[in-house]
Amino acid sequence: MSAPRLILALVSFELVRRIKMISTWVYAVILFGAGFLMMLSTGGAFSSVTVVTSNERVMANGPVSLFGTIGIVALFGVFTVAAIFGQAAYQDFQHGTWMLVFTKNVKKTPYLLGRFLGALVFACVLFLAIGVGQLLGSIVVHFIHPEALGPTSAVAYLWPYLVQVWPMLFFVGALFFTLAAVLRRMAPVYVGAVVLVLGYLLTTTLIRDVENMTLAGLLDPFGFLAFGIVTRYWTPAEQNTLLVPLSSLFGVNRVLWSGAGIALLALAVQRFRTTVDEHRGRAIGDEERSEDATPFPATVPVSTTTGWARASFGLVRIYFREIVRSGVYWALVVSAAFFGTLIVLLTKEIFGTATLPVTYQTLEMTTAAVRLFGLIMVTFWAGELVWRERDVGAQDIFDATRAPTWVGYVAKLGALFLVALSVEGVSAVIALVSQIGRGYLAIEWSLYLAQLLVIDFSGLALAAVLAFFVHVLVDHKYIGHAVMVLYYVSKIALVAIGVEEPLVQYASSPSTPYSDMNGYGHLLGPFFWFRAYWSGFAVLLVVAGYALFVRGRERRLRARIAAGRQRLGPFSKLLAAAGALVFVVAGGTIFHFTHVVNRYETAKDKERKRADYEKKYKSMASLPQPSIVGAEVRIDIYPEDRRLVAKGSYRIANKRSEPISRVMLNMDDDVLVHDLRIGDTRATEVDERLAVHLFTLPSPLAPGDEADLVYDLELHPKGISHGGPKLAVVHNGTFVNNDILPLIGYWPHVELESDRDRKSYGLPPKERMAPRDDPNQRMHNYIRRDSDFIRFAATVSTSGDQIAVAPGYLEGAWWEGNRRVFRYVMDQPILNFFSVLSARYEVKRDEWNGIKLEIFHHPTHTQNLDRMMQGMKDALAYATEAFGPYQHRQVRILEFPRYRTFAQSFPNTIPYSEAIGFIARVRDSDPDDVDYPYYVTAHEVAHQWWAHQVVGANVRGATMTSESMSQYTALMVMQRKYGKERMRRFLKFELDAYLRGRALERKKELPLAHNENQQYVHYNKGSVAMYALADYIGEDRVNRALRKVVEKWKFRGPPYATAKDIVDALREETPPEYQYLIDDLFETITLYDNRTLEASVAKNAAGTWDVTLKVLAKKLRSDDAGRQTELDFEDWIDVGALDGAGTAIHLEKVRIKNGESEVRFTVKERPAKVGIDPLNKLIDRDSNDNVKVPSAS
Amino acid sequence: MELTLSGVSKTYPNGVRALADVTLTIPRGMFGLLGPNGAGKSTLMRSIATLQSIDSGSMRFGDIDIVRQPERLRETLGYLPQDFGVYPKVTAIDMLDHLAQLKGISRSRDRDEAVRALLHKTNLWEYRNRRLGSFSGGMKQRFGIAQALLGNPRLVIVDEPTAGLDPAERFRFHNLLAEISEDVVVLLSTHIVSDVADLCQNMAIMARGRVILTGRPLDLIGSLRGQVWKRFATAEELAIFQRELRVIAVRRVAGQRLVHVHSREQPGPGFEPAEPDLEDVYFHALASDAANAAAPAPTAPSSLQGAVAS
Repeated sequence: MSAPRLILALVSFELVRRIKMISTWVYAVILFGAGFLMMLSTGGAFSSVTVVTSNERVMANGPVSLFGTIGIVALFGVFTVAAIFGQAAYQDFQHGTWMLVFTKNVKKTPYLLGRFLGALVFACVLFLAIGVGQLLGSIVVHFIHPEALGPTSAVAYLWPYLVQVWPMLFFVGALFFTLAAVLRRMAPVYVGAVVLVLGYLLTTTLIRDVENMTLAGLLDPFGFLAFGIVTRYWTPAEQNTLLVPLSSLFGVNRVLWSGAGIALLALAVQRFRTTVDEHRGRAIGDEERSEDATPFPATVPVSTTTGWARASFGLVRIYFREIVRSGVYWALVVSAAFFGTLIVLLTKEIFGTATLPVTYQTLEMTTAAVRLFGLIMVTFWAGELVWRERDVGAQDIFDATRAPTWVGYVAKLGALFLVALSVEGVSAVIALVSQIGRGYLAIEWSLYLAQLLVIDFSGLALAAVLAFFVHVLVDHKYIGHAVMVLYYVSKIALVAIGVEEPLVQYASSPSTPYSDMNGYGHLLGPFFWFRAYWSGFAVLLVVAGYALFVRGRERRLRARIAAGRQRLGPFSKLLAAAGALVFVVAGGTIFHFTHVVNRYETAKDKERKRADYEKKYKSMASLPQPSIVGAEVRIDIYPEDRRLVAKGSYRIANKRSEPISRVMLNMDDDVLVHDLRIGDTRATEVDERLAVHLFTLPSPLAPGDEADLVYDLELHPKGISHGGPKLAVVHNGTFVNNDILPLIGYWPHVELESDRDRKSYGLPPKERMAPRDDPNQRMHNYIRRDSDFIRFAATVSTSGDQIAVAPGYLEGAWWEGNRRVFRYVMDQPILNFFSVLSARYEVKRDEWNGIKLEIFHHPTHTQNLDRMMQGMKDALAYATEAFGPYQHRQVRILEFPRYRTFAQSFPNTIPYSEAIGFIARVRDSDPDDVDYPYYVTAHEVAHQWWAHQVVGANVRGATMTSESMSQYTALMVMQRKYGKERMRRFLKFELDAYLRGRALERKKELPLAHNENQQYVHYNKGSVAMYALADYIGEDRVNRALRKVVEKWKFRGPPYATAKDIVDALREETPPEYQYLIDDLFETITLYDNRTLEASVAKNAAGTWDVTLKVLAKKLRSDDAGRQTELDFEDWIDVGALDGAGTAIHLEKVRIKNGESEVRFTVKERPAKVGIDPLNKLIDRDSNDNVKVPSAS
Repeated sequence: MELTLSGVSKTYPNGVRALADVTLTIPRGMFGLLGPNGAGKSTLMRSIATLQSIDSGSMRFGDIDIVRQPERLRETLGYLPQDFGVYPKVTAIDMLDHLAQLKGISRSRDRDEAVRALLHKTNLWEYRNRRLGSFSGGMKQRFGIAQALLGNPRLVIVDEPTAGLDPAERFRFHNLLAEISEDVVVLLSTHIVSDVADLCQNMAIMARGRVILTGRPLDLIGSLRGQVWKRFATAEELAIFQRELRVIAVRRVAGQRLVHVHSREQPGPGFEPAEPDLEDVYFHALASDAANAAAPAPTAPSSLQGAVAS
């Protein structure tokens, strides 16, 4: 047979064979179903049951959505491909037909290619099922949410196949095929598949650091990361219209890995042997020997329970030893160790800067990285152990021994637990190596025990029991594995369809984050209840599995059940009864607390409440309401009971021109209201569900009149609550703010934001914020709509070993019994925005120009205190000099547990999470490290001006007046200390975060000075825009403008300042030639696309270097959906040269017109790179093509 | 101690009747169970070894009711299955030690002694530290018998133990069996007639799930004496004989066909009386059974030749 005919014959043989197999249709249905469900999900078809909302701007059937969904399903389909390609190479060995094949006149190259192509064609066709599923899904979506769909485009469906799925199938197919062909075994193929997918998932963490992006994009064999990188800045409009271009990193990736596929196939052809595997090792001669005359032993067996227990234990050893000796085990362990270590080493939490490898964090990262391996390992070996004897054909011998069935059963389960335990061992080794490797020796061994053995191992053991039971029950290895995969998928699916009840989700448990301040706190209690509940269930599974365990040749379930009844002895029954008792008692307790004592509320319930709130009370929005003008707070914290009592009053005043007779108060959901009254009047109507209290005042509050709003409230979370434990009041590190006190009037923030969600509740679409000039909203500040600047005094008490802190100055501290009481009074009006913290603090003190500086910190968290202290001093110095005096005589930083990760600026008080600055590891020697404890401190101190002096009105752009200005201040403080060079890396992160953020925008992107509290705009774009402006017009001019704003607006309102006031001030200071910048940076969404097309250098007569550049400049204006139009311009843009380290050796601003232009300049030394905007000061989505290595001319 | 089976029947879920009313009494000593593939031998053996349930009938070993008290039977059972596997990466001595534990020899000194003795006995002592995966067929089979004999069994069941063994290995294996069979019940199933002829005091022949003949080999041979005739025949003659006579077997002797025919008198010209052997007994029994069942004759020459040649 000629080679092509042979190939064709093999391909068609393979296809026909596959079509007849049930598994083919199972794969097809799964892929189709996954595609179908993904489309329904992205199209928002499940929004009636879940709160997972999709992006309103990105069409579910747009090219990028389709690419993403088809790609992700295909990625997980790789496991099925492993079997297909592996078997294509292996089947002739598996069935022993290879001797028949290769004794025919078959050449190995066409044979292998035929087998491979057969599998490839089959897989390529099979995977089309995903797209078909998506197409049909889009028809369903069309009836539910037509607005979620764009026009159907065949190209958009086919493109992912052409450039991603099929090339991926080619590469991974070639890999699996080669493994099976060369090694003649299937196990390496499965290990290969696991390693490949896990490796991919873990590599995705690489791209958290902007700098590693290109590398990660090339390393990813699936092309999926490269796709993500190429499209990461695409606006919704682009995502809906553009195909992923091949002329990009993505294309390079595809070429690279397709080439790797070809190389693998060549390897397969070269290394494939058509001959018998010759056994290595010594041959055994079976030589004749005379009969041995020893008599037969007459050992009489005696069976005792201890004897059997010993036998069982011996079996555990044999089973486990066999597992540990297998290649699969080591392949998984080594890859777990490899990827785990990689993750731990590469994870850089904030601004590309690592934290100290403290034990809890290292362990959390490690266990998270290894968890998937652990689940795969226990599932795999559950199947292997259940089938151990039958796989080798020794079952008859074992089953006919006199050993009771439990001996083998318990041993298998025991060996499986050892596998799980060894996974924890791997975690421990990774964690230890990474701690010691970084020179961190304050290792907390008890945490290793708690985190690995108690918390993690118990979960893995539960998974092991389930996997083992499933394999016993199903009694078919591959179906057993399929059932387990379905189980893991269903865990995710249950959440996706809104099932939250943890009592029906096997092995569920609340999370137990560890905090240095609060330890495991009260979190272990609920955790153990859940573990007890599921352990009780697991015991039932173990006993049921014992009853159903196959002994002998009988495999029918009915017969096994009958045999199982006889098998269960008194001990098994007792065990089952104990398990059932624990299960019922723990389940009952949990249910009692989550449903009876505490309110059981799902995310969907909460969403419904928000909708109902709007429907029921929107009419109250126009009603005049009193404002808060003063606060006298008494807060008693009982850390040991996790209880907090708030008794006090707000002074309220009628600042309107008409009398007020109806008052609406909103309460926090978790707060118990003991008393609530205005003057002597109590609420006439209380809506418990929505926590709304309505008052009708007997005598209306006349304009200008004041009254007291008196409250007696309590926070006392009891037992286990649904949706995770309450973390505001804890044993050590309580942090509450005044949201636990009443809010006055209709609260628009409660309203649902997504228009799609609103529609499903019959609510009209709404804007997130009012326009900048809205006269009504200008009368409110954006921090608290029911208050202006208020008087403030607080008395807080706590247990004797803790310090409690509130804003204001400490006027007195005394003991009441064994409790400490502190009195804080603020000497001037502040925003109605305060907090109370209590913990066992140590205090570090310092002073700057008569201002007292204090850091209240956890005793062991001392590493970064100097950086924070310096940050406070430098920020105070800079802001005082630039914007005007600091209004308080004191700044305090207060550490709180890592349950929340932010720092927040209250008047003269800055709560600061232990997770962000206190465990930072900033190495001064490494220019890549960003000193973020210093930077965050500076940002928060800057808020004392930007928010607490000048506060924005409740309109668009409000956060530019606070967040963007604080970002700017912190940037300048940091630049003063660390120099311009160090700022570049920081700004790169900021630019990247902005560009990614706008790609993920769900509603609409707005310009900086109109932003609707959009973090990627007010923080990230804010940094970039303000830094660029300072670069163009100079820091002095910027600060002069801002100083004027502060002088005019400090402590003013209503009406409050808006972003327009800042923009106007900046515009005034900006020279005429840069006026366009103000519009570009603040009032519009403007991006450049600058590129250096050609660059050359030549040494001139003077010994310096003449640089000639040909650049292409484009400026684009984007609308709120990301649709861009090109602008004509003639702007000032940097051109310059960089040395090898990336430092600018020449920079000058020149006027550049849109389109191509030529630029010349001269530099002293030979530059490494030259180009336009070489330091990336402008917003440009591809900052890499700005510079080029110049050619010598 | 004897093993008594009465009325044992078993039908598989797919409708195959594996055992039909099997009644047998198996005394101490070596008992041979002969029958073609698919006769139900292995099903019967597995049922006695408590690995399979039966639909009806009773099985007793001494005072043990095997159906009701499988665990009691297992205490006294040694079983060598027809096909069995071993853990390829475990050494012979470890595996045997481990199985000894499962047979209830919990004191390690006892176990050690038993394992050593059996390894010597089965001539595996030298290979005790080899991985089982590297064992040849004969060694594996000897390992099989070693494990079956662990723990002093009173009932030893060996299912087709000599298949695939070379003559020397088979001989050694026979000696082993003969040695143990003195005071225990050994039930040996095989489709090789000479195994039974060489070893067994008692035997039964099974076909299509039933016992079609039982007795002492010598008695059974004696009962055929004078009724077996032989003759060389051409292919055409053979066809005629098969139609008209009760052909027991066709063998090849020096390239020619030698036909054995059962007949009470001289069946025809050229036939000489032949001294019957156990093979004649076996094939005669099968042929009679096939005739009784009016099923397609199992005596097609090719299949017989196959059986005889092995």
